[in-house]
Amino acid sequence: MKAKIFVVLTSLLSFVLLISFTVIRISEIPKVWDIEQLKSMHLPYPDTSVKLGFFSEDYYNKLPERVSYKTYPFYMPGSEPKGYYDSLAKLEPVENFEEKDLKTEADWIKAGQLIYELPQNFNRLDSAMLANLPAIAKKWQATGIHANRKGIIPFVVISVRKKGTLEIGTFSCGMCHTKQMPDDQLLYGAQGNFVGDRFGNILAISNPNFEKLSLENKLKVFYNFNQRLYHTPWIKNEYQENYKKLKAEDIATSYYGILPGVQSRGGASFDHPISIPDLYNLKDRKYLDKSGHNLNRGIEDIMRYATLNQTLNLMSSYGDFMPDPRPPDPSKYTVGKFSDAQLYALAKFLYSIKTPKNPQKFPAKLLQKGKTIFVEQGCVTCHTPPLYTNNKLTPVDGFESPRSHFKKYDIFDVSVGTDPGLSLYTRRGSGYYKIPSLIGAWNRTAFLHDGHLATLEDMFDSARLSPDYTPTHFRPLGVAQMAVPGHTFGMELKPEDKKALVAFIKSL
Amino acid sequence: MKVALTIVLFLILSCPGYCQNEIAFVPTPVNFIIKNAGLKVNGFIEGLEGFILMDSQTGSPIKIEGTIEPNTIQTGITLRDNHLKKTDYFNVKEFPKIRMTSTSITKKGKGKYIGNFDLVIKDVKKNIEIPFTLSSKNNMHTLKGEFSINRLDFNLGEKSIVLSDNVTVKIEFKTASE
Repeated sequence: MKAKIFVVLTSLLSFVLLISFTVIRISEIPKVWDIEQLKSMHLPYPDTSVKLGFFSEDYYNKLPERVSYKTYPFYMPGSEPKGYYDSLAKLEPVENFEEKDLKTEADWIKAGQLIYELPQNFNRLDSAMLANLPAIAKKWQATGIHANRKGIIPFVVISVRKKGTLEIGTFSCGMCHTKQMPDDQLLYGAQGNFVGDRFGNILAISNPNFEKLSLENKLKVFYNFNQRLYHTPWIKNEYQENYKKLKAEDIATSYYGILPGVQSRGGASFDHPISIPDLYNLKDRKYLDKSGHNLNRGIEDIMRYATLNQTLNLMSSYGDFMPDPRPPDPSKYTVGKFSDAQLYALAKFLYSIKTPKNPQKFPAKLLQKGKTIFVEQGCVTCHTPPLYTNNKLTPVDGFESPRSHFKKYDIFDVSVGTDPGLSLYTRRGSGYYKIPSLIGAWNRTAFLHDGHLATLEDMFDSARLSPDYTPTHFRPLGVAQMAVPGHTFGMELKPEDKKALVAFIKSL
Repeated sequence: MKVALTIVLFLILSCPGYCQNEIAFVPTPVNFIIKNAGLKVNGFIEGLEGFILMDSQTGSPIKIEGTIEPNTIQTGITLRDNHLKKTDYFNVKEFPKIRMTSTSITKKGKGKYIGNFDLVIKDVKKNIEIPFTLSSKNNMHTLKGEFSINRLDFNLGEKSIVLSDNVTVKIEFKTASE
């Protein structure tokens, strides 16, 4: 009898211990809005007189938290089931993220995917917009936005946040960081290929309220939008002024140049989109953003990065400039913020993303040859295994690393000569570019930080150094030809050696 | 007379300067090999200035000294060379010379020696032992030697999973004709 009791108690104790190691306690969620950590997370601007400022912890705590509601597919207009929108209008909103229900690591990862797919922008789908959808759909299709085999436009959803009110939801994290493959499979964490800028721009200008505006007022709306996203008052450069060259009649096509794999990133520059990074091995990456201007010291910095970029950094102060005025009453901030629990779940999901392998296979001899060339050419020095990045920052042309940076940051003190604009002339500037990982490069369609090149082969093509080169991917508005400088390695290789090198990189 | 003879004898026996011959090296590169990701990388550094001080009586080296200029480093890849000149490697702006000075030279056989040298790279001085040979032909001398250093001892870069710590250095110095 005593033995039985002992066995039961021991089993119970073991069970409790096992559960306690797998249950994530709410107290484990790191603190996101720590002012000192936010400041130290950011590399200084090249102009060190400009200081980045954040609102207080008290203000942060009073900002309303976003609620994650169940969303529904958005069909290419004309492809939706009959009565689809009428049926959605009858639905009650369904909250699908409940912190108290999240016990295990797996729970948090699953919930994190909901946050990853949670839209940030909402366009009311009222009767006027519904009537307009077929015409809008033609514009989308004309610019290459297509539905999948089921007629669904991926990464766009219908949100039901209030019964009877339907909204087109866009700009989730997943919209940019998920790739739809030719077989409609979705690869999370990949360089996304949905051209959200074009989709969003067409949607915005097709809004009946916008269509009614005069040309002058349309331009004002456009300028205000761009100023909010890009204005960097301490910089006097084309990077900050280029959107002012647009006329009202150009607004409709202003984002048509944006191609899969690049995105008009807030804090960067109009008409200088950034190639979307993939998110593999995020835990091991020391720096975030192309310019490496955010440190990644742990999960808490991933959480901070996410909340800043969706979209609290618009209320940061950049010297005397603040893109969005802070409402005196933070509870009135209608955009809201992610809750710390949502951010934690999101980060857990991002950490869980596995790198997909290239389904294309290469002969072993070719790969071995490519690997040898990879080492002989010195690629391995910067793109060091196992991550195929040495996790360092390279200074851009025109920037000299202060001595203090060598102790604080991981500097590889040689410029590779790519366009320095993003790192010198924008709010995301640091004076550096981070050395990217080559893992997953097989699945990218936009190379270099500015996405001017479509393939790895283009990277090794010396023709791109010439001013009469036609970039194989993104080109600024009105530009037919331009040099794509920098990263000139491998250009002198024989064609068969380039082929081997590219095969090796594609195998990563 | 006796005093003068004594003085001459003393001078001959002590051989101060008369029996020593300082001969300059002809500029030749110093070659090195390091393993990077399993493959050998060959490089060299130029700018050699130095001399060998020979004992004219015995034909043995008394002192060897030389400097080279890390600003001339070449490994076949310009970006790598530029990086090696920077602060985290040779820091050529602050330390334009690498210096090697013998502290002792011991004969081990015909034309074979072991020298101890103070090697100074950046602001680090280490004494290393280098076996070398010295041959002479047509009044020209050739010194050949090989040694290894741990680059981390001289703060050349940091620990790396791809770049080896050990660097093999091969020297082949020739002098001008005497």
